[in-house]
Order: sequence, then C-alpha cells, then structure tokens
Amino acid sequence: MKKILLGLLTVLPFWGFSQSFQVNLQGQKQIAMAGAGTGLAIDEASVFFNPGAVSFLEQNGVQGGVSGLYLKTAFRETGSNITEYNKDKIAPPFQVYAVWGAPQSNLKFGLGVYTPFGGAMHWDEDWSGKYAVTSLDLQAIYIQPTASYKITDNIGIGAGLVYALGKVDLRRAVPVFLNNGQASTAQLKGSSADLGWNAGIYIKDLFGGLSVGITHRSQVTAKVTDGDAIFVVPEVLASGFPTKFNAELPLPATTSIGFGYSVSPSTTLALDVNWVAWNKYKALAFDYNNNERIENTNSPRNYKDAGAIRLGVQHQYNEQFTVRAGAGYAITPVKDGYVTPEVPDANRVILSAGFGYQPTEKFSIDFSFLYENVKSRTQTNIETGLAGEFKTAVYIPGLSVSYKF
Amino acid sequence: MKNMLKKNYVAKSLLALVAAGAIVSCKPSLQENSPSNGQADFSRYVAVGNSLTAGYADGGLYLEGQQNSFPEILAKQFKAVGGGEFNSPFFAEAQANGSGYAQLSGFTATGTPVTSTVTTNLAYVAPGRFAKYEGTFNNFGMPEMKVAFLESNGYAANNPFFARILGSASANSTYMDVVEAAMNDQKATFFSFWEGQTDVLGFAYTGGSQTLTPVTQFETIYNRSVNKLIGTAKRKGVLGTIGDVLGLPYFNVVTVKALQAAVGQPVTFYVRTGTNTVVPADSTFKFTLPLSSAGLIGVPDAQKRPYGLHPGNPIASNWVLDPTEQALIRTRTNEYNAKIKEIASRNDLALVDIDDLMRQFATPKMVNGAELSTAFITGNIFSLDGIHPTPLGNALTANAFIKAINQHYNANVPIVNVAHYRGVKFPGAAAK
Repeated sequence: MKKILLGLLTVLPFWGFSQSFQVNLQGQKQIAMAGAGTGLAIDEASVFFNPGAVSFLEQNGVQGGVSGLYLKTAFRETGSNITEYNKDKIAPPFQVYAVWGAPQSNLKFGLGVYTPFGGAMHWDEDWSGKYAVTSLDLQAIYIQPTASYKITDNIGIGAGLVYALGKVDLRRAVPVFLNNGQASTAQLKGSSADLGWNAGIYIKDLFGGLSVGITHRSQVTAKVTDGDAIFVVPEVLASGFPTKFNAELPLPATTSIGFGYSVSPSTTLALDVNWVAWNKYKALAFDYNNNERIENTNSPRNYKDAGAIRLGVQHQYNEQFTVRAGAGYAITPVKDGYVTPEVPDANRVILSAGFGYQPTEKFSIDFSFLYENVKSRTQTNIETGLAGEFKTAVYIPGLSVSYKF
Repeated sequence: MKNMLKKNYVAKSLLALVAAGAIVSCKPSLQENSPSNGQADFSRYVAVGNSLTAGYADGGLYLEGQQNSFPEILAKQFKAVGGGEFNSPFFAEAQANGSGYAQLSGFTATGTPVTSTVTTNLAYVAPGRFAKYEGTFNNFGMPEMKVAFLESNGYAANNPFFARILGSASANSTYMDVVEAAMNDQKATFFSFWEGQTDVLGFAYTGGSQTLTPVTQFETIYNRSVNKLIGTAKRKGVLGTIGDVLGLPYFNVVTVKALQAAVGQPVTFYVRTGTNTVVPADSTFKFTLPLSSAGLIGVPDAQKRPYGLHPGNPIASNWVLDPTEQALIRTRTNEYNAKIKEIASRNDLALVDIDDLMRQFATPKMVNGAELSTAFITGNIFSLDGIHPTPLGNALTANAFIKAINQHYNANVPIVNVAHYRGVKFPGAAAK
C-alpha cells in the first residue's frame, strides 16, 4: 500500500475567547467597566491599558488580580437532536502590575505581567467534532517593563517592551482506528518566547474634564519550534508519524482610542474603541518532522480585522466604596465558514459590574463580574465540514488587591 | 448610621448581583429542534434487502457488523420519533464471529496490507449450515440476495444465511414470502428496501462471469416486491438506488500501475477479455481485489510463459473488467436505478440515491473533520472486503436514509453522530 494519507491534520487552531482568542481581562476595575480604560489613569493597570497614562498615577503601587473564566458552549450538529456542551473548565487569566517613580518626578516606571491571549476549551473525547478538536489549552503570558514620561501637565507618553511566553496543548482524534475500534489521537504541545511592544499617549483634560488615550500594542508572532507531536496510533503505523512540529501564530496588534470624562468629581465615564488587526491571521500551518503518514498542513483562517466598543462608568460612592458597571459590543473576526469548535466565535454583547473597597489609604480590593453573550451562529466549516449551531455564554468573576506605597 | 446602612445595602446588592450572575443557568440554549415523524409512522420498522442491510462487512457476517448495520442505526434514530423495538437476527455471543471475517494483520515490507481470516467462535454447525436463529426480528437483510432471487422457491438450499432465519417457515418459501408474513404478523408500519446491488455486483466481482439480471425481470420482481411491502396496510417506506459498483475499492486497488509496481518494471500485462480475446491491458482495465493476493502473476506455465506477462498465458477473464464490461455495468446500473426511481415515485415512497452518495466520496471529502473516501482502507468508508461499508460507512448511509425520509415525509428524524463509529481497524497495540 502506498503512503497512507491520514485524515488531514487540518484544524489545528489555537485558542478561544473574548473576541476569538484575545482575552480582555487586564484589570479588575476596567473589567467592571466592560474593559474600557485606555482614556483613564485610575490604577496600575494603565501599564497595559495605556503606558502614557502611567506617568499620571500619583502614587507608587502594586496590584495583583485573577479572574475565573467560565465559558460554556452548546453545539448541535445540523439535523441532530443532541446538544453537546464543552466540559466545565475554569481558566485563570491573571494580572500583576507595579508602578513606581520618584514623587514629583515626570518619569515613572512600570512592570506588567498579564495574559492577553488564551483559552481552555475541552470537548468530550467522543463528541461529534472530535476529528476537528477535542481540547485546547492556551496561555500567553506577557511580561512588560514600561517607562512613562509626563511631557507636560496634560500629556504623557509611555512605552513598554513585551516579552511574550506562549504555551499550547491541542488535542484531537485522528480517524485511524486502533484494534479496539477507538480512534487514534494527536496531541500537539509546545511553547514559544517572542517579543513585542506596547505604547500609548495620554492627554488629560483636553477640554471640560475630557481625557483621551491612544495606544498601540504590537503583534507578537508566537513561534513554536520543536513542539512535541504525540500521536497515539496503531503500532504498525507509529514509525511513520511525526514526533515534532513547528508552527507560527500571530497574536494580533490592537490599536485603541479611549476617552475618559468626569461627569462629577465622583463619577467618571470611560469609552474605548479597539481595533484588532486580525487580518494577519491568514492560515494556521503545521510542519512536521516526519511526513511519511501525514502531510504538513496549512489551514485557511482568513480572519478579518475586528473592532469592539466598550462603555463603562465608575462612581465613587464614598471614601471606601466605588461601584462600576459597563457594557460593550465586540465584532467577531471570524468569517462565515471559518468558525471552529475551539473558537466558536461570533459577535458578542458584554455586560459588566463590580465594586471596589478601600478600607485604608494604601490598601484596596476590587471585584468584577463580566458576562459575555456570544451570539448563536449556525455554520458549516469549509475545511472540516462540521456543520451545526454554536452558542456560547461566558461568566467571569474576578478580584484584585492593590497596595500603594 | 444611615450612611452605614446604605453602604451595606450597596455592597450586598452588588454581591447579590455577582452571585445571581454565577448561579443563573450557565448553559446556553439553542434554537428549538424537535424531532417529528411527519407523515410516516415509525412504530414498527422492517428492513429488507441484501448484505448491505444485513450489516455484512470484512467479507463476512458477524455480530459487530450486524450491530452496526445501517438499519440498526436507523432504528435507534427512529426511537426519537415514535420508533419501537427493532431486532436483527444477531449471532449469539459464543458464535459472535458468524461466518468468519477478514481482519488486517499487518503489512508486507513493501506496504501491502495483509489480512487474515477469523476462524474462532463461528456460527457453523456443519459445513455450509449455521445454527438456526430463533425469535422474531425486523432486519431481513440477506447476504447475496439479488432482486432475481427475491421470489425464488427453495432459496434456503442455496443460501445458508436464509436457511438460518427461516424459522418455522417451509423450506420451499421464497424470501419475499417470509418477509411479507413477518410484516403482517408484526404489523409493520415502515420499511426500507435497498435491493439490486448484488444483481450488478455478482457480474462485476466475477469479472463479468455471472449473468446480469435482465432489466424487465428486475423491474417485474422489484415492483411486485414493493407492492407486497406496501401491502394492504398501505405502509410507507424508503427505497435505495444501487451504488456505483465500479467506484468500490474492490475494483480500484489492483490497477496496471499497481501490478507494474509489484513486478518492479513497466511491463505489459495481457488479459483475456469477456469476449475471449487476448489484449494488452491499459489503464482503463480494472482488476478485482483478490488478484493482489492470488499469487498468480509471473508464475510460468508448462511452456515457461509467465502468467499475465505473456499473450499465451494472459490474466484470466474472471479477474478483469475490460472497458466493455465496465460500460455494461454502468449502463445496467443506470437502467436498474431508473426503474427504482420510477417505482418510488409511482408509489410515493422516499428515495435515497446511494449512487449519488458514493460519487460524493469518490474524491476525499471532509465529514466532521475526518477525511473520508471510497479508497481502500485509508478511506474508512469501506471494510476490508472492499465492497461492504464499515460501521462508519453505515452511519453515513443511515444519515443519507434519514435525509431522504425527512424530505419525503416532512419528518425530522435526527441524524446520527458519524464520529462515534469506527472505520478500518489496524492491528497491534496503541503506540506513541
């Protein structure tokens, strides 16, 4: 028999969440305001949201926070009466920030460690789309040292270097059958370390209590070299399967403009518009170190650029309590025909709420809750042929603590 | 104090909001999709047809194949729309390997698959005689059943599978006698009738040695059988067309190119055609699958002429489908299918076009992320005999039946999860 061309290892996409696999959970105060914060200088999370605003932070401070991301997707194959759900799994995106500088100095330094891309999508091992994907775990941790300089009393600029650490673990079933009738499995595991940058400008009191921020976070191209390709296949075929793979994935650039507006000394409105350059995600290609049984793959993704709009409000109730709420809408970068079960993306409505409690001058704690309603989408994937309706809801509670010094 | 209360109120409200958000039904819901039986009554389904209905696979009838026959799959889906109990004449556990079947045991050094036959736990009580099946059942799938045999008296003498399920019926009974009596007894409400494949296949897999059922005979018997299935009870049902026999792996593994590769040289092969002339074979000739393991090629005869490589010792006609025979197969399949479609339409029955389904998989097609095709072994649709489907192939077939039934009877029978069924099994343990 000639070379056995196994079912293409086609759909090896990477990650899922919050506008495809971007995760917009970088500060609990901002999460509670639907993710708006580019035009504000409210806390250390400005290291992420707008390095230009860091120089306007009045005190040195550190904060750390974590969210519990619970995403539930329902899928029903076209024509079936069975609704399948992804498994319960809580992903923990986190964020740690520090900002310091000499008092009265125009120069401030910041450090941020956060997770702007990621996901944890687990389907049943025998679900109807198992040959497309059974599970995906993805984590991208960005470490960002930052400097911010206040040029004038109203204008600050800042920039940070991003060191991006990526980790991926992707599994699927392979339609090569073992002696017990079970399908073979493939697991692709790898890590990456790449560079990027984040820069922003912040203009305070442009007029009448309105501040503006503009930022750009660069694309990071995550390159997995010599990742482990673990194929559990029939013994007679094993020697023809690869053990290593290389892959490359763009973590897209995001440009944001944000406005902050002080309605009153205690009430602030925030509005962000994000533009994510998803069009760079054209295809997902895997190169294997052994092509005897399977060929290298190149799966079209053809994402389009996509935007999101986020509106938040913060009201300081008294010296200790601040309440926040927000709403937003994010447009999916995934075109019709390209929706996959690990990224069952669609346009989404975002609702958020939260509050902050500051018992002392130095210490504060913030809670947030974010709900995302991802629209139902009935699709036939052009590559896998998997046809059905996806519907996703995301629930994300989170908290952070911060300390000023 | 007042301030304090208010503060608590705010905090508690927010906490309540967060808690409520976390508790409300976390599962997203999808649009309604309620199964419905439409204008059909699936409460008692009876499956009538040949080996494809029986669940024959890997060159034999055995329990796992029976359990994964397309009618078994279909009947499970019918349960969502009022379908009742459905039984196939399963082999008992101790005789689970039935007639025996082929399994893949490895590959030769050059990568040719090697099969072996399972000979344990068979259901034979004597050569050519199975242990009788006792009990009622709804799956009348009968290996080797041609339309031409449907009304043959004493057919049990020629087919041990029929003798096995005859029960108390007379040994002289025709197949349709047995089916008709059982349908009336069981008050059958719905039937599938997928017949005719063997009428073509019998000719094809013998390299054109068997005779093809004449079209008028085919039509007469087929029509009479459908009338019996509909009966006075005016049952509804579904008919299936005959698949593209020439597209089966059985006729596409051994090619001139493959034979040359086996010999290791671009030599000319000589074949005896259906009209008893010897010609050199070009790429339009098809050879049957067993030729690959028959051990004939190159074996010299008494005059030291190597088999197949010398015009004086050509490949025998029974291994070959020459272009004329292939054209006849195609024409006859079309003629049979035209009659099947006509009868379906005249009787207002659903029709599933298996011929069309098979063509869709002639080139690889992605189904739920798995690449499937009519290719041997790697295609995963056909079992090791190169003719009958794997469980996965049966699941695809069942879904095609469901689609046709839904369309014709305005029903909503849910489709089956194809990914749940296996294709061709490989030997040995799992390895990393």
